[in-house]
Amino acid sequence: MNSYKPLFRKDIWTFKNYILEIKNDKKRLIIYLLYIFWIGSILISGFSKLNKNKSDMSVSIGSEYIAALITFIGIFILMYNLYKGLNESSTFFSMGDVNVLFQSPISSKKILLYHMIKQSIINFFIYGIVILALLPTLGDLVNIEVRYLGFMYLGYISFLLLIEPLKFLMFTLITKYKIESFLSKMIYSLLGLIIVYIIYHLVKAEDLLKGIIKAMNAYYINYIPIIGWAKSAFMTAIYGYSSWSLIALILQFTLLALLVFISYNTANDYYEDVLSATNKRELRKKRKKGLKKRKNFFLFTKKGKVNVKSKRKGPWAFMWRAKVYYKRTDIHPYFSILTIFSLIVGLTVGYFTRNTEGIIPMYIANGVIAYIMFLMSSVYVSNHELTKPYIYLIPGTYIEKIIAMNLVDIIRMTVNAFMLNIALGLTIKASLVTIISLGLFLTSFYILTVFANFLVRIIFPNTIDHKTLFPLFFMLQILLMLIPGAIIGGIVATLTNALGFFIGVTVTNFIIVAILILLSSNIFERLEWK
Amino acid sequence: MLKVNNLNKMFKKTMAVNGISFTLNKGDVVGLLGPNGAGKSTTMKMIAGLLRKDYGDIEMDGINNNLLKAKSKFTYIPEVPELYEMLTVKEHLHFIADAYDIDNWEEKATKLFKRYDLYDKQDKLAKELSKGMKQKVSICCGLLPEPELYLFDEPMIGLDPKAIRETKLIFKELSDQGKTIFVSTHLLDSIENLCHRVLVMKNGRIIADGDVKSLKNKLSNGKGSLEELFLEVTKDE
Ligand SMILES: Nc1ncnc2c1ncn2[C@@H]1O[C@H](COP(=O)(O)OP(=O)(O)OP(=O)(O)O)[C@@H](O)[C@H]1O
Ligand SMILES: [Mg+2]
Repeated sequence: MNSYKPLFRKDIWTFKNYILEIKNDKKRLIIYLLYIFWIGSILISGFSKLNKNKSDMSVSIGSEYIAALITFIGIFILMYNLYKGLNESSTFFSMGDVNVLFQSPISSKKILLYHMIKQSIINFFIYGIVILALLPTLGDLVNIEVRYLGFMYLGYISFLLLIEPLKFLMFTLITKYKIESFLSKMIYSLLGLIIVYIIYHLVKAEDLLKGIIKAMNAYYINYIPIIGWAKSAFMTAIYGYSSWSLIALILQFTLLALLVFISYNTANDYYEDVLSATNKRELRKKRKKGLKKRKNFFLFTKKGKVNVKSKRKGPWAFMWRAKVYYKRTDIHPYFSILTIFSLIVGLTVGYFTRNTEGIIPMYIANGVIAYIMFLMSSVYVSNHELTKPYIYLIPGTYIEKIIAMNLVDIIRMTVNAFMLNIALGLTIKASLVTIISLGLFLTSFYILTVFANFLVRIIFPNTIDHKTLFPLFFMLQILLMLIPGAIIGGIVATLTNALGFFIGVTVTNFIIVAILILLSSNIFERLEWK
Repeated sequence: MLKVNNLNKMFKKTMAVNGISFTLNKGDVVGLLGPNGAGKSTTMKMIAGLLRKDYGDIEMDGINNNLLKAKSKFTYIPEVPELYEMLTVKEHLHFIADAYDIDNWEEKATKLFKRYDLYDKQDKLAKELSKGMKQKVSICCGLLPEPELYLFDEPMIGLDPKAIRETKLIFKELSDQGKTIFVSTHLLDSIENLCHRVLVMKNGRIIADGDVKSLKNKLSNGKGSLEELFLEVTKDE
């Protein structure tokens, strides 16, 4: 019998069951319909913007920024995944596969090939949603040539499709040839090289922004596999077509095919490698859901006993638990590796912008960080407490419990926010009022993302909903979180000055936070533990 | 049927399995005992080919356990019953039938469903099942291919009394048909009149091997329960 047939049939059944389930659940059906409607509206608005003419000046600056940004993001994602690939294989499997499929008399190579291809096809469409959502913004910044939209999409997707097979292959080679230390040295050297490269350009340009853009847009980057090839294809829709665009794209997909082919031929005994990766992924899903627990620096992990005094009882046990966790995995319950990082960023930005007039760099730095925080908030939340029954069992009011659960994280982030602003403010000689207001601004933003996320997760605990509906939640979050602050901040700013904007946003944020906490506590009273 | 020779497995710094060797003959029902963390599940998983062996050999009728030919000789029922969440009970068995190329599977599946009270739950999704029900489905998946060797890792956990009795009956029937069963368990009383032989593991080693009676004789002159025997063998020196 053909070995691929059972696999294929199984997936057809799974798909059918998903459809049936969504069809029978009115609430979800409505959400999904809304979602489709939303994608449709984005498509229309995106395409209508693409053809409008913009001034040449703004377009060339915009495309430079975009090119630099995608290079930077590409490098970041790649390096992060290479680093992770040292310790953990990637997985295309579920626990069902591990328990049922792996022991069956189907060749492990065929199983791998089938799942790699299946995952690639799924990702090909799923990841498209992100770029779709970004299309209107891109269209605002630059002229996008519609006929080369395909290049843009394929360039972007080829990069993402390459990541998992790359990680998988890397781990296979590590276990097969015991080359972990060699590879980790390679990766760290590569990272070092990149940092030196960026610093070189920074020093040469004597300007933060110009330096980074120069470094990221050097022409030879286009010839680097995975990142450069993807970038060349992606930028075709903005810069226009050249024969290199096509070659880069072909190279990129050839590389993908090659990786899959090599994996197919080297991986015959990979079950153990994917076991722990699969296990972890499913655990994460169960942990309500898609929440990755923030990984801390292994350098600081302490085994055995750590001492944390607990003064208050009841709900504050949550706080004690969080402190123990951080004390074990980080420098200090309240000071993290990020604190040092904030200090460095503050000093660096301050140093390179010390000649700029006024305190604009501070506004920009805080704005950018707040924006990144907002983007990351849907992915990274350290709240694993929600899956455990203790929030229902421990005596105390829900408001107290919700605050106690998040307080340590909030304090940690407050320390970082102030560290950054103090370091930056002192180097560029900003006033104390500015430093304090901006520190509070950043903190309020963090608290807002924490509680907004908290709320979303208790209302929609389902994994699959979460993954597929992510853009919808995202839009809702923008509506509810960013807009009120922006409006009030804008009003205050016109009445006073630019700093007024940040103060206005801060105050609004805290008001929304209070509302969110009340709402969460109200929902908890009606919720059951699942 | 199954030959394990000098098997070793190391997890970082723990020696989970430390040079064990044994042979199971056709028709044997062999119990694998040992305190938590003794290395029972690790051994089972290595035999099933889910974990690599650091060192040693595993053969089934002379065939290396990782070869495709060996895979149709056994089934493995894992410790934790994790199924395909989005497949129904019946589709699980259908999939197994496809993968193992089983004829007549519907008839066999219906029989199993009836024995395990799953008949009216066939069209439920796995994610809607209770833990015990999942365990039952997992057992049915392992029984359907009717292989020569069955590896059960704590099959009775979470089962209701009727299903436990049914499982014991099935063990008896299989052994009468000349099939080999290797079962790890903590339920000592179920072992006593079921297993021809027991292996006791501790800290990755086999510390006792023999039939229940001779083990009893050796240690306490045939008196005392299996429980006392177990505690005696596994106690710390
Ligand atoms: N994935 C793993 N990583 C690290 N150590 C492991 C892993 N799996 C098992 N171990 C260790 O190997 C040893 C044996 O574990 P195993 O699961 O085989 O025990 P067991 O006899 O099945 O116990 P139980 O009766 O609790 O099921 C234990 O010390 C355990 O901590
Ligand atoms: Mg076990």
